[in-house]
Amino acid sequence: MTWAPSLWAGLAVLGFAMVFSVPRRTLPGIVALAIAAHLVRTAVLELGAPLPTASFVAAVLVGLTAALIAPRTNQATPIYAFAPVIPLIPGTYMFEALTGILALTSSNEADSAAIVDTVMVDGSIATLTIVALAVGTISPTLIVGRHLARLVRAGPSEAQ
Amino acid sequence: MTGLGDALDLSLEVGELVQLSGGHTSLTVDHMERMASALGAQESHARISSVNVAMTVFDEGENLTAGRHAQHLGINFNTLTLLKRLVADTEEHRLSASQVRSRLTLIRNSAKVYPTWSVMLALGGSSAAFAALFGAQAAAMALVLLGGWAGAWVRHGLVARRLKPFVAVTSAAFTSAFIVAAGGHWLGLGDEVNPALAASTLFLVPGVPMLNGTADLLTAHYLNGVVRLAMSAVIIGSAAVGLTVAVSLVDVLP
Repeated sequence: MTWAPSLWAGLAVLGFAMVFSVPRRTLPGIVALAIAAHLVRTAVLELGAPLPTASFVAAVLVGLTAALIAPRTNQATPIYAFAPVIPLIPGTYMFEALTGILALTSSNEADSAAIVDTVMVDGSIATLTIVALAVGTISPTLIVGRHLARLVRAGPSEAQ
Repeated sequence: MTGLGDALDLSLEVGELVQLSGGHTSLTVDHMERMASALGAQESHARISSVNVAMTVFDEGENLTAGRHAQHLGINFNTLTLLKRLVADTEEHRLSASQVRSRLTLIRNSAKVYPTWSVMLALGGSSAAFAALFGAQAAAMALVLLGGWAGAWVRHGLVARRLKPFVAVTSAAFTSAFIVAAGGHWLGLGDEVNPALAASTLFLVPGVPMLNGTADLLTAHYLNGVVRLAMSAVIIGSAAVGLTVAVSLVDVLP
C-alpha cells in the first residue's frame, strides 16, 4: 500500500479545520486522524471493497476516535469528528457525473446511452459514499459517544 | 429577574450560541436542558427549529416560556467547546446566574481563533491538496491553490454582505473554477486539468450541515434534519452551477 498520497489528506483537512474554528491545539490530532482515515480507506479498497464501504469503515474509525478523544481532552466532539472525513469526499466522481450531465446536452443519440450509464454509475457512487461518510461518522458519536465519555470520566477501575 | 427567569434566559442564550456555532439539534437540546437544570429549574423542555430556539421551564408550580431567533448557519467549534465546559462547570461547581452570564458574555465576544487571511490561504492549500489526491500535477495544483484562495475570498466577501448562499457559493465556485479552467487552457494542460477542476470547488462542500443533518435524522429531529440537508443540496447545486458556467465559458475561449 502506498501511504504517501494519504499525507495530502492531512493538508486537505487543515483549511476546513480552520474554517470550523477548531482550537489551535487540536489541529495536530485532526491532521493525524485525517491521514489515518485516508490510509484505512486505501487499505480497505485494496482488499477489494467498493468505495462507499471503504469510506464507511474509515468514517466509523473517525467517529469512534472522536467519541473517545473529545471527552478526554474536554473538547466538543464535532472538532474531531467532522473535519477529518472531508478529504474522503469523492470529488472526482461528483465531477465526472456533472461533466457527464453537461455532455448529454451536446451528444448525439448513439453516444447518450453510454454517457447516461457513466452519469448513473458515478452519481450513485458519489451519493452513496457521501451518505456512508455521514452515517459512519455520526453513528458512533450518537450511539456509543455517551457511554465512552462516561467510561473515560470514570477511569478503568470504576468502568469494570 | 427571578431565579427561574434567569434559568430560562441563560439556557436560551446557551441554545442560541450552540445553534449559531454549528451544533446539531440534540446537542442544543442537551446543553439547554442541562443548563436550566443546573440553574435550579425542576423540569425543562427545549424546542429547536431551523430558525428559533424556545424553552419552557418549571419550578414549584410556576412555569415560564420564551424563545429566541437563532438560525443554524454559523460554524465555530471553539465556541462549542467553551459552551460544553460552561455547562459542565455550572453543573459541577454550582455557578451562579451572574457567573454564567459573565462567562457567556466572554464566549460571545471571544476573538477569532484564526485570522481571516490565514483561513483563506489554508483553503487554497486544501484545494491544492485535494487536486493532488485526485492525481493532478504541480502546475494544475498551483492553479487550484490560486483558484481556491480567490474563491474563498469571494465567498467571504459576499457572505459578509449578507447575500444568499446561492449567490455567494455560485460566485465563489465560478471564480475558482474559471481560474483553474482558464489557466489550464492557456498553459495547454489538456485533460490534465480535470482533477484540478474536480478539486477547485470542494472548499465549498457543506460538510457541517450535511453531518448535522444526518445527526438530526438519526436522532429523530426529522424536520431540522431535512432543512439542513436541503441547505446542503442548495450549496452543492450552486457550486455545480458556478463550475458549469466557468467550464462552458472557457470552452469558447480562443
